[in-house]
Amino acid sequence: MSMPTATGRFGIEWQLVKGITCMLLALMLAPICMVLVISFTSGETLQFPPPALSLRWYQEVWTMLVGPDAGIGRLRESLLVSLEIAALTSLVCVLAGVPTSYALVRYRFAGKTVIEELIGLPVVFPAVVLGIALLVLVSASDLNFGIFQIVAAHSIIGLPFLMRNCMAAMRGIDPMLEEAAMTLGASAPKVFREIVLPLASGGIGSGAILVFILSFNEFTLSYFLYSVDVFPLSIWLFQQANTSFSPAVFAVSSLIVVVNVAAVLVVDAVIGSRGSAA
Amino acid sequence: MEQNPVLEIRNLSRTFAHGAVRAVDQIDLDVQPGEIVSILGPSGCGKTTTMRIIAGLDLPTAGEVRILGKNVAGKPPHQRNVGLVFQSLAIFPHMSVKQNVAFGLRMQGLARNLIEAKVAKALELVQLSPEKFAGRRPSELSGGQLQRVALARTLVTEPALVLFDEPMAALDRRLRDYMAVELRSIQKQLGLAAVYVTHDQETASMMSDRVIIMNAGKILQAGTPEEIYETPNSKFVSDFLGDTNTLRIERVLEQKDGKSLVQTNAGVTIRVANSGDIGEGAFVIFRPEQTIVYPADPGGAFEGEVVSSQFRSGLHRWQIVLRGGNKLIAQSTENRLASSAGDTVWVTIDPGKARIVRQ
Ligand SMILES: Nc1ncnc2c1ncn2[C@@H]1O[C@H](COP(=O)(O)OP(=O)(O)O)[C@@H](O)[C@H]1O
Ligand SMILES: [Mg+2]
Repeated sequence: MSMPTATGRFGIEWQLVKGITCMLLALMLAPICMVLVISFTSGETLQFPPPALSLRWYQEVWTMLVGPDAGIGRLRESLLVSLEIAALTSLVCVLAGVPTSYALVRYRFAGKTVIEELIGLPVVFPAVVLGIALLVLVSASDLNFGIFQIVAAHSIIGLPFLMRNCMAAMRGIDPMLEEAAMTLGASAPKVFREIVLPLASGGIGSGAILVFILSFNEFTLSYFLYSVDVFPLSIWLFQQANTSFSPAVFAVSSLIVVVNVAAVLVVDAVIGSRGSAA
Repeated sequence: MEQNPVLEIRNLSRTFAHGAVRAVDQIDLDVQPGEIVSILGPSGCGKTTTMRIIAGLDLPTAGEVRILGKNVAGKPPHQRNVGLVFQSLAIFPHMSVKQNVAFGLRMQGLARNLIEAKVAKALELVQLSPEKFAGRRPSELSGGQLQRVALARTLVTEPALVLFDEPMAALDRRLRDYMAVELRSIQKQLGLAAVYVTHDQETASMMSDRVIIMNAGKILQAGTPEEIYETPNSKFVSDFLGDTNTLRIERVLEQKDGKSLVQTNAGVTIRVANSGDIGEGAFVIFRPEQTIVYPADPGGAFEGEVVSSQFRSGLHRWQIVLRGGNKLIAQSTENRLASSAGDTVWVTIDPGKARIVRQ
């Protein structure tokens, strides 16, 4: 973006740009702010603005999570399942994505462009279609994959995000560092462990956190693939919203927003301090 | 006992772009134990490619590399026991100085206390005090210090052969000269066999037992620094090693006892110190310090006009245009001419030094 000129900064165009930007931001943030505000209501309903502010719904959520009846509402169970799915998805994406990224960055081989295209595909592929396809696949197999059918689905859409970060970090590594390590007696696996992994750790770490958030928030694929035993938080929220609509749901949503923002801040910090180190 | 050469290269070639670029073109090269050989040549002549092939980082399209008598074809870099100090130094940015130097020893699987001792010794060898520098990050070091770390990191693994690919190109002249002298003394002290690549002839002369001049993938001449400077076999080699005066030969008048008498396009006949079948388009070459300038005609000299004169580092130099348009540079430790620009002078050439070379 170029700097506004002296006349531009005070001119009508600049005012217009500023106005539109503010409006878009407001449009984006307003619903989220509303959720946040309502979650602090002292009332029983979703009335806006709230009659008074209180923490009673957070207290309620706390009881739902750790109270003696935590098993009934299934909030705790859903949260734990979602965390588990997100962690496993990150792990799968790291294990599959890091070596693949390295191969794509360093080597030329037959089918390289095909792989590159395939990896980008889930980003533009409609999740609903992917969900239906996977559901058909899972039903046809007649097996119970439990948590892993959602992990697999999330990994498919998470992999491009991990690999994009990972490949950017690896492209920043001077190949001569790897060659220097070789001449100093390091075999290929040792070069990877000693040079590539540490220098790409910022990209890998930020990619893994992104995938974690993506999986934790994901709804569409989860909706097709959840079961009675595997009931992710996004599905729990959806069902609550369809049935009870108590302000507690808004408190849970607000907590999710906080977790998301925190994760984004961590990614920013990681990229800022290590992503550019190579 | 006759020892094997540390390195033998036979008929080595490397082409790129399906044979369109001949980066290395049928070269032969030997390095004896304790010897340092410089490869000197302009940028793009194939020096780095040669180094990379020796180290195993690139594969030749033809020819053979032997290290300590063994053909290393198919051996990966980490099994060759060849150290390479890179032009870019390639210091690991995520490791401290100590970790950088310890890297090769760790790869060899040495015990921790042995590694500690060797790293400290290596840092002392390159004059980086271990107390002060071991814990530093590479980003906290100057160019010269990084240079020393790179050197220590390679030497500490005690490779059979060390390759230096212009590692001092980024340093300024004075530091480079200083490091060259130091590196030379370390090399002698450790009895290292090494190949030193540079495009800087002064560093090459300072560093090496033998020099090899390369151009366009080929070796043009090999010999001691003095030999090559005194008896270059081509105009290219002579030019590359310093200021060279060139006169085109019109006719060879006489060749006897390995000497020649030639007619040049400057209109005067010159005696030169070599002979041979030189064919069409040959030159007489001689260096600025191989001339004598006279304010009056001593007989049999070139007549010319002084264009400019300088005094630098104890040397007087004159740019002279001869009758007929040839330009030449003359140089002397004494100021033989009180006169300067515009004056007519006469120049003779030391017949023991001037040489005829092919195009
Ligand atoms: N990977 C490569 N692909 C194509 N051409 C190359 C490659 N590496 C080197 N070359 C070419 O080979 C020639 C020699 O290069 P190099 O060995 O780097 O020269 P030097 O080190 O003497 O400057 C140059 O013309 C260069 O362009
Ligand atoms: Mg080079």
